[in-house]
Amino acid sequence: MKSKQKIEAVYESDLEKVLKDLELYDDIVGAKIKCAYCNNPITLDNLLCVFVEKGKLKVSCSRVPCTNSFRNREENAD
Amino acid sequence: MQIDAIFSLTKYLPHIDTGWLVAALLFIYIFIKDLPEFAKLKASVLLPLSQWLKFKGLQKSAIKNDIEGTVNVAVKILENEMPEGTIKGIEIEYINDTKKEAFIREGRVFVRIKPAEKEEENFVVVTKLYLDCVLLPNSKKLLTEEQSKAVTYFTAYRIMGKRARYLNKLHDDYYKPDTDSKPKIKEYFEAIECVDKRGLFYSTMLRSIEECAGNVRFTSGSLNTEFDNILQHLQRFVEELKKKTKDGNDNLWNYKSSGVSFALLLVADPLKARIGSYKAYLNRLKKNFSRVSYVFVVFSKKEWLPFGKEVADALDSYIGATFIGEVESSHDYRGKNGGIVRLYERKIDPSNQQATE
Repeated sequence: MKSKQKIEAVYESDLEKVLKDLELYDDIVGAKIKCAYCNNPITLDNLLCVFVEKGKLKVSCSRVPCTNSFRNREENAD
Repeated sequence: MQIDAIFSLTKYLPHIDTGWLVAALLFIYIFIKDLPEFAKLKASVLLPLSQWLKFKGLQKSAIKNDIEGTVNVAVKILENEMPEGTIKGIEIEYINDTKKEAFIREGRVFVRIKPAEKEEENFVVVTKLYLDCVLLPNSKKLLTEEQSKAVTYFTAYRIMGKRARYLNKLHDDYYKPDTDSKPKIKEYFEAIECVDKRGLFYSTMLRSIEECAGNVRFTSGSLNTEFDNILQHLQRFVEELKKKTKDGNDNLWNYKSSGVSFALLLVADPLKARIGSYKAYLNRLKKNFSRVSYVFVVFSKKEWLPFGKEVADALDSYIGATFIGEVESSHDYRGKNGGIVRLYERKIDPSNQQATE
């Protein structure tokens, strides 16, 4: 196998620390952040992934349509 | 006799230097540690163990080995079927701290991994995310959502193979709701499945679409039409093969459009071929294969080599096609396991359809 696609992952128990590093934790706990695709509030239970779009951090929830929408995100954020 | 030999060997065991034994084991480990088969084997032990012991490190390792092992074992097979660079393996990297500025600057993405009890969910989410990143590098942005999703679902099914729990999760949570709301995905999926069962999806269809997508003349609309046309063409070709019509429909042996043109030549059993017997195939070549830029020679067996050289020389001298590569396929054109597809290219401009004969 010549090359590999790296997928970054955060294990459940490391999630709080990584979200704090990204300054997202308090907003998520306070339900101030919405899913980039369905606009529903993101919680610690339904968060699936964090990504960058147009230079900003975006969060998506674990609903199936949102997971499916992820493929259409704009890459190369900057 | 064999038992005696084994017993006679065991008497030397206590004399083997422990250092050499450790070195030998270490050497074997270094050799196999990066093999996806080893990761898959490790996962089969670690997953149940981690669900029982619930140690964080064990769970993370089990999940990583499970996904990387299963996906990369499948990719090793798919790599042989696809055009070079169309698919690559997966590597999961856990992060447990990061810097916001660097994360944004590098345009990174992370996915959440749940404990091993929810491994079906982890596996399906990560595999879909990975396929969204790697599949169809040239054509993804030009195909319709239904077309690219059908290719992604089909490849995900191929990767999951016989892992029933993962397949069920993918089907129930993603494929079914998606196809219920967009039935076209199911239509494409079934057509792809039909073509792949005769070894023509990745080797012929996907290669042609990626080739078109690399052509600047192709816009999104024209590539969508090309995708539909090639898939329908190959599906009709396979249907004719299933009917076992002696010559089939002559129009189906080649495909021509303004963007890509190719012909198919099926070689039943090269082992039966004798010197000079390639001439039988040339009659079909002359009849159907003028004005195409690619010829896919589809062999039914892997033991084609002696005859393959003869056909290659004939293709070169009769229609000016040169050998550019060879791929393996999951099935041969008769639907049996394992096939070979050789690709020959002719230097013609498909837009004016002028052959250099």
